[in-house]
Amino acid sequence: MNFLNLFQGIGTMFHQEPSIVILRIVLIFFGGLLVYLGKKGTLEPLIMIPMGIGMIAVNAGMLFLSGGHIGNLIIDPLLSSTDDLMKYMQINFLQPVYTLTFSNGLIACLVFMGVGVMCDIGYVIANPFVSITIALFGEMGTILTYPIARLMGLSSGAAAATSIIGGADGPMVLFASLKLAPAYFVPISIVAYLYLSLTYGGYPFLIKFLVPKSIRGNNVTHRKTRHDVSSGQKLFFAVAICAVLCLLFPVGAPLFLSFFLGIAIRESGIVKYVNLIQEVFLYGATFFLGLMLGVLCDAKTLMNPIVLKLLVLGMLALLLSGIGGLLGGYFVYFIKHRNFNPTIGIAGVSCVPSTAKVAQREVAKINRSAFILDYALGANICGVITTAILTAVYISVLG
Amino acid sequence: MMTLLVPLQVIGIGIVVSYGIASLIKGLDVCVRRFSKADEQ
Repeated sequence: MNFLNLFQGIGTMFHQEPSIVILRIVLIFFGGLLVYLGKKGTLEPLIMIPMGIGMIAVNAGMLFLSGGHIGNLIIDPLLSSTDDLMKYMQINFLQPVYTLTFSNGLIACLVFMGVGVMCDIGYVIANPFVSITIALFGEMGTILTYPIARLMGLSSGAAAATSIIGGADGPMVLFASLKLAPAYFVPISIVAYLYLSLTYGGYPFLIKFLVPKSIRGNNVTHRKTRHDVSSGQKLFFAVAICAVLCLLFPVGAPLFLSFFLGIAIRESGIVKYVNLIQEVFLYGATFFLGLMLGVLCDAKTLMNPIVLKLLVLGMLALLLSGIGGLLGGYFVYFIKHRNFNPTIGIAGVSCVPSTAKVAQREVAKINRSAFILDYALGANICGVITTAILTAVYISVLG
Repeated sequence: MMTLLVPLQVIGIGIVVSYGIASLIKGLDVCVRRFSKADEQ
């Protein structure tokens, strides 16, 4: 028996183009690096550990399929005909998960429902205008990346989907790329999640660079707290905002419904549903999200030249949004006659609750008694709402 | 020019809708507080 036919993971390397083989090997080591950085806590472990292992398995586990094709028994994201889909759903073990939860946006909506359950809308109700203002500034990357992406040769749909990476909201990027650029859904999602997990590590440097120590420890006085708002009021607000947003942007209705349903369940106090969504849906969806992103990273998919452009644009979008958020913090700081901490601005970038925690942590390093988490969470939750609004507008305008 | 038009349109609508939502929250908040005060009295 031929050695290369017996050990087909190695054998396929001798039958593929050298560039693909090199990328396969690089991705196997890169997957290992993601697992290591996830374990270390540098990157988000909930996504990176399943993603890293998935990346290793899909690039190592290539084999010869019928007709001399080279593929794997895990997933084929490029299937389009119904016959092929039905056939491969019974062959590739993750194909059903991809087809029935990933490519229709269900997994994004489940994550969004979980985000809703985690969000206390009381922070927004306490300071709606401040929170919305910061969140809108935090969308700078979502807006400014679009023309740059178009200049770099991306189609309008792909440019918009890439720009939404600036909103720092994973489910939103998945949803937008499915609607606006289904052909680039895989690379855009991979780039988005790779960078999103970096915000936790990268934004503190941006804060240190843009907010001087003298004002980074500012506390906010004369504040209105979320304790003034009852859970009945919060539920009422969630229902009203959900209805208005669904009326205005039916294209974003799945996201609005998922997010506000999460909030409504939290405020209704249905503990069993809260536990179901938070412990089962959210963690289950995040696990499969990480694993799917990993197995979608096969060398052939990433050989697409657009990936390089997406890597540049994704980083630019998040950088611009971070800068925009801090500018928003400064804007409110001057409007409120310096009774504000501009660091809160970073929380306008809606990576719930990471950026709010980053803001509080950086402020506490300078002034241990300073507490800005309430304002930061308000801006954070409004960031989710504004990103959902801008995503829906992009889809409505370009769709 | 068309390239710039899309993001301007998006942020324009985004600002109007976002502040609309903030105003709605503020308005409802004021109403809810008035009603609860009246109930207490």
